[in-house]
Amino acid sequence: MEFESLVVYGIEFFVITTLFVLIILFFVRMLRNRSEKKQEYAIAVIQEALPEYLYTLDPAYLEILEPYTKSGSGRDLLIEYLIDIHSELNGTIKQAAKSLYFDLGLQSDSESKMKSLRWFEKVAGIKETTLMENSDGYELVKDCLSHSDPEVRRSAKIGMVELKKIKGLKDLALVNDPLSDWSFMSIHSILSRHPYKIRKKDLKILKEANNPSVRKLARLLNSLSTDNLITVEDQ
Amino acid sequence: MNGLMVEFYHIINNWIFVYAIILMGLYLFLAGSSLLEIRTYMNRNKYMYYDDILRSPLAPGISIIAPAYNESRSIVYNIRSLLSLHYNNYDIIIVNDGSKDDTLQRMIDAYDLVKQDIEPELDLDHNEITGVYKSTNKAFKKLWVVDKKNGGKADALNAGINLSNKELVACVDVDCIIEDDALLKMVKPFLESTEKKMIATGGVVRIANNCEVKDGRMLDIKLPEKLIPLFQTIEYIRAFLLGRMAWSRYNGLLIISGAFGLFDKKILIEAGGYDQSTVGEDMEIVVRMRRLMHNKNIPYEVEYIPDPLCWTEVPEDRASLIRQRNRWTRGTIETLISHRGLFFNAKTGVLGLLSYPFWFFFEWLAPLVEFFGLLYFIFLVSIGFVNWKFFFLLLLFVYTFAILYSSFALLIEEMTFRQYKKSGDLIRLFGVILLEPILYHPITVYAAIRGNFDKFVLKKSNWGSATRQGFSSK
Repeated sequence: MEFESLVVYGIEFFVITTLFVLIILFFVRMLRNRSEKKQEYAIAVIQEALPEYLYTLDPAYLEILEPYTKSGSGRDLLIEYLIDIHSELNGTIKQAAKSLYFDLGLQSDSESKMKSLRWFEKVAGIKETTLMENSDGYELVKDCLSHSDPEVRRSAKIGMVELKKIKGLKDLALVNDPLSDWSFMSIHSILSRHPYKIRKKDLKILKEANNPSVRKLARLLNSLSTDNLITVEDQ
Repeated sequence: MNGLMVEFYHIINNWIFVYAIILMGLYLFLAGSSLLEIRTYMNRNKYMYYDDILRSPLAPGISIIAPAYNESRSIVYNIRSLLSLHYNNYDIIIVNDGSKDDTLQRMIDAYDLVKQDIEPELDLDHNEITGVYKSTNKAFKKLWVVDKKNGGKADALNAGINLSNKELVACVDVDCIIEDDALLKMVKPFLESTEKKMIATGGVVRIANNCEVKDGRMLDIKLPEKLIPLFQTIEYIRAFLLGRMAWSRYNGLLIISGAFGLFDKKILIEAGGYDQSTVGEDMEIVVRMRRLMHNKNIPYEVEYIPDPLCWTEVPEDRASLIRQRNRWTRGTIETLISHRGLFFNAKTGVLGLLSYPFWFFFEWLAPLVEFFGLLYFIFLVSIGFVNWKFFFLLLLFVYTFAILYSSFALLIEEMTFRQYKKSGDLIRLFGVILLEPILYHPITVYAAIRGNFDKFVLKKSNWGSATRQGFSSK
């Protein structure tokens, strides 16, 4: 090949590559801008209509939300906001948020995520199921204990205690996989937040658990009982 | 040209060619690995709730240690920013490293500090402490100030570590802006690790020049206006998102930025603390801690968090930039020399077989290869022995590769953290990518050559001065 044509070829290659890269960058930015705007609009509608519906139970607001129940991303957004409301508020509105989660069939979305092959979908499903207190999903959460990904196992351990408190802890006692400090602190926090009763024989099971972290937690439960957060019963 | 010279010419050409191909191949490998690591991180943190840890009384204690030297102008705001971080169990230790201005008096006045009768532990060596101060105001109960004789950054950090009674220490630059949730994100790997001991985590550092800052808090993220910080913006995105994240994936990190790093205090002390004799103390301590873990045969990890957690001001003029890069080069050389036992040391795994050789061949030697390559090229031109066709195409290829690599970093930034959203930011950054190999890269190569010269010929081992503009305040 002649020198001149090589130069021209090289310059053409450079210009095309540069333009290609620039187009990709702008294309990605355009897509992100568009999806962000769409999401911002959806968030604005949901943020306005969802609390109104939960307070008034006026079907007109449900109609506003209906378009979002038909797409995967819309359902995910609804779940996200229902979780926020359910976690941060109490009383009838909390109950209404939970009811709507079930009425719209969003719990089956969360359960499907737990059956997904993707580990991060599983994590999302576990978090949604536990934060919305869907106790029917407990077995699915428990199944995730044997998953190969540590994040899935971690979420499952925390989720089991969040959903079933002492029963979850008793199930964890049979597992050898130790709790990370993160899981330990999360479970401790869950148990500290929810005053409840524990039978002496259950406490004994926990104190003799295979899992060293559960044994450590059982000792902590004793200390919590002195703060009236936990009542240790004979039966 | 005689036969011997032709033979020499071919050997040199082949070596340079092989070196460049390995370098580019490694960069591509690192870029791909970073992408995977960032995607994993994003997925892992999508549904992460920090509230339980934020409120937990069991959260491990963290001491934030920030050396201050002649920071009178901004120290009060810097401390205010540190006092408002979101974490349950932390304290702040400001080490006034013999400032010549009124840094100490400003802190005393602003935070009602009173001298305490405390003798810190002497686990680590440092210059004499002349006073330890604590606030009488309950609002500032987290704040401690250590006043000591000047001994440099490493010396000041050691003094702060001796005073700390927490499990973890966060070593930061006092003039950095730390994100509110930075400690939570940095502590997470320490709490999650079960099979390996987490010894250190680092956070991504971004450039704060021209950003709007008020009371030590980031109000508005803007691209720098001047060209030199703008070049560094792309350089930082590339280094943190493409380089360190990849090394983090393979547990091969050799450095945690001195601007913001979180360390296991026990291991840090056991390793001997910061080395006062080097100007690259941030790299040296990580390598030493890693060697300690290898020697003790304890599985361990060092991790990087890709979230932008810390904002810092970078040099705005060429002279300051050269001084800074000169120091970084000397720091790298000092660390590599003092830990030369790691070179292809199979017993240390990734550390000895990959990380150390990479730093040796491609961080330390790369600017030297470029420089001597340039001298060699000038020599060939002078004797009329240049294959211009080959030269031109090679130059175009290398330039295109550099642009593609930086653009890939920008693309990852755009797809993930997207800090520069303003219209025009993307085109400015892309323009900078096009100009960087021509205008900016030669400066950094020059600084690295100067660093080598200063280290080996002048035997220089001081920090040099830095000129800071200070953050604009709204």
